[in-house]
Amino acid sequence: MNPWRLEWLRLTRSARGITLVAVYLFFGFAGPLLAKYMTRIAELSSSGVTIVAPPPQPADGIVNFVSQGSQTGMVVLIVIAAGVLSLDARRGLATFYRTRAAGPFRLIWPRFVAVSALSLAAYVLGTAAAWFQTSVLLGPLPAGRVGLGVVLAAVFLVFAVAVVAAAATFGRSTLSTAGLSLGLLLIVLPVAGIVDAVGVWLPTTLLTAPATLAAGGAAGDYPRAVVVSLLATAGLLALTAYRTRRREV
Amino acid sequence: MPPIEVNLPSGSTALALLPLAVLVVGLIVVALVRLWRAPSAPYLPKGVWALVIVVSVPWGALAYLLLRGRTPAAGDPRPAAPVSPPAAPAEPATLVPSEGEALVSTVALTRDYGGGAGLFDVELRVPAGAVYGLVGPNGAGKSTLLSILTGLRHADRGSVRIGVPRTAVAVCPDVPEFEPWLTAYEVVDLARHYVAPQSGDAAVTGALEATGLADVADRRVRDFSRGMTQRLGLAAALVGDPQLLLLDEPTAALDPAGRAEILDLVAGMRGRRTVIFSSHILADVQRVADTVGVLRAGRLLYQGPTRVLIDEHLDPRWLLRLTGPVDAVVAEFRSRPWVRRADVLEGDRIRVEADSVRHGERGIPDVIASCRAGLVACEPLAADLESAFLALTRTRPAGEPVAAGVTGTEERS
Repeated sequence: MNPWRLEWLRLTRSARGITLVAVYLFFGFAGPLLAKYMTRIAELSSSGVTIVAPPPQPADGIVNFVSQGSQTGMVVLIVIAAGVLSLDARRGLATFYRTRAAGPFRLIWPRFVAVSALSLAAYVLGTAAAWFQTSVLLGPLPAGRVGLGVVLAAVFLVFAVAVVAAAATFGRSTLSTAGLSLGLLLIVLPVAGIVDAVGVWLPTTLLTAPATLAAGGAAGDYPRAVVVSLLATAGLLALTAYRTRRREV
Repeated sequence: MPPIEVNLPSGSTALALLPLAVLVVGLIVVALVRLWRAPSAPYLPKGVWALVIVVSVPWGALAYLLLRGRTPAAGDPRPAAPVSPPAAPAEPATLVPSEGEALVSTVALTRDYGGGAGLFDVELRVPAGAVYGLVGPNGAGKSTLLSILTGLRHADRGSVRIGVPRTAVAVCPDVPEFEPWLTAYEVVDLARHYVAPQSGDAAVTGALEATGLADVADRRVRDFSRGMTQRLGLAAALVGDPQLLLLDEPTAALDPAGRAEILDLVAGMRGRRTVIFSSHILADVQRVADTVGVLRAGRLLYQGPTRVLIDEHLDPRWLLRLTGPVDAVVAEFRSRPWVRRADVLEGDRIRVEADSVRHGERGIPDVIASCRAGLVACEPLAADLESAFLALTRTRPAGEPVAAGVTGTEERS
């Protein structure tokens, strides 16, 4: 039993993996459906009112998936990552791992990689579902641009997992780790991103890249955010290892 | 009433709806099956969870799947599983306890939590190959001391010297915890991977057999009782064949039979590995520890052989059976300065507690003769660690400076 198999079992036996994949798949399948029938649903819910809207375009399927799935998927991802990366949340478990592993990075790295891989797999599957639904209901999508958008979103997801890992060294319980991460990733960074001059540098810009690119946005807007995300991810992991080593159980 | 038109989806819409429906139904089925098979559900009764899963599509199912992995609170009743007696200890004596050689020693070790809590100037000295019992009341600093030795906490000042590499040190906390979705075998195998990757499956099997868990090796840890979890903690500690084993209250959650088995296991380690174990069950310490350290309020009051503590820190007592004026004899005893206590017990027996063996042996016959009573029987009462511990902690002020290597020779008033 090596740490990699441990992480595999953690994701499969504890239903963490199936839960995150199911959330992204759900929005992948439901997003394009809503895009296609949103007008009719709105008409049914407000009797007597006729709503006139332009016919949905293929890009709307991905836009709907990203706008609805990203928020909910991110919340679930943060909760799952907080559960995995809060090394010291349970004293007995922390004692078991910390008195055996040669250093904190040997504990953190497999968990970080496993959760990142899970989030990427779930996101790719969700996007594939949205792509399938969009193709069936609304028409074909530009494969290259959507693919590039997924790669950019993947960079953000890895950054998000690194944020949770670092947050786990500030809070001790899973709840405090999740709360701190949610506040940073879903409130502080998006609010800071409202300022255009700042937003283009922030990793949160990458999360909506598949929708923006599918709708015709420019790919040249993202390199700065990618560089910041990658540097921040490395820095956060180093901070996590440093603080974990210094922290008492 | 106007007829209600129901337009069933067709064509591309039906094709698009199908995978969504399969996903949602699949989630509900998976959640319900797991709920059905689970012995209990987190936070809510199982029936309520079933309702939430079916009504709140699909969020109820997702919430249940996320929350079901939570470990039950400590003390939750769990079905007990059959536990085999541990295997006999392996061949003994490759490490001979030595008076001069200390495997673990500390110098002026201090960790001040404030308000008088913590450790203060502790000079621990654990001989190689010894079973060292660390005793003291709650809050005495036992767990803090063990945590500093294992590196889980830092000292404010002082130093720790451990004569073996970190990989040769194993720890079992007072409340061991493991991933509930692993089997017992997987837990011990994971521990083996970290501390002794070169050893094979035999090491895992051996550790499980040694702790009596071989028969439940394939059971998930979430189904273990607290006692079984404590055994598993010991197995995970033993799998690397450590030279130094630190056990924090290793028998606290075990039934009497389980305690006896684990104590035998620990006693069998004497000479093969050095064991430090803390316990508030003094009978356990007396049974297995050849050396004992007594902590109170963060200070080491005594450190040395268990036998010496019992012999030199306990007021000697005798039980007398007399004929004649029992009350007069007791009154006479109470008037003598060397008698700490004299009581009449059931059946006109008298228990006498003296300040020293010499005074008791010479003074008791003198008192009986002076009262013209007849002596039927006089037997010394067996001393135990609990009595010695109480005597020691009663008479020594908590703030008194510690002398390293004290062997029970301090003066008594």
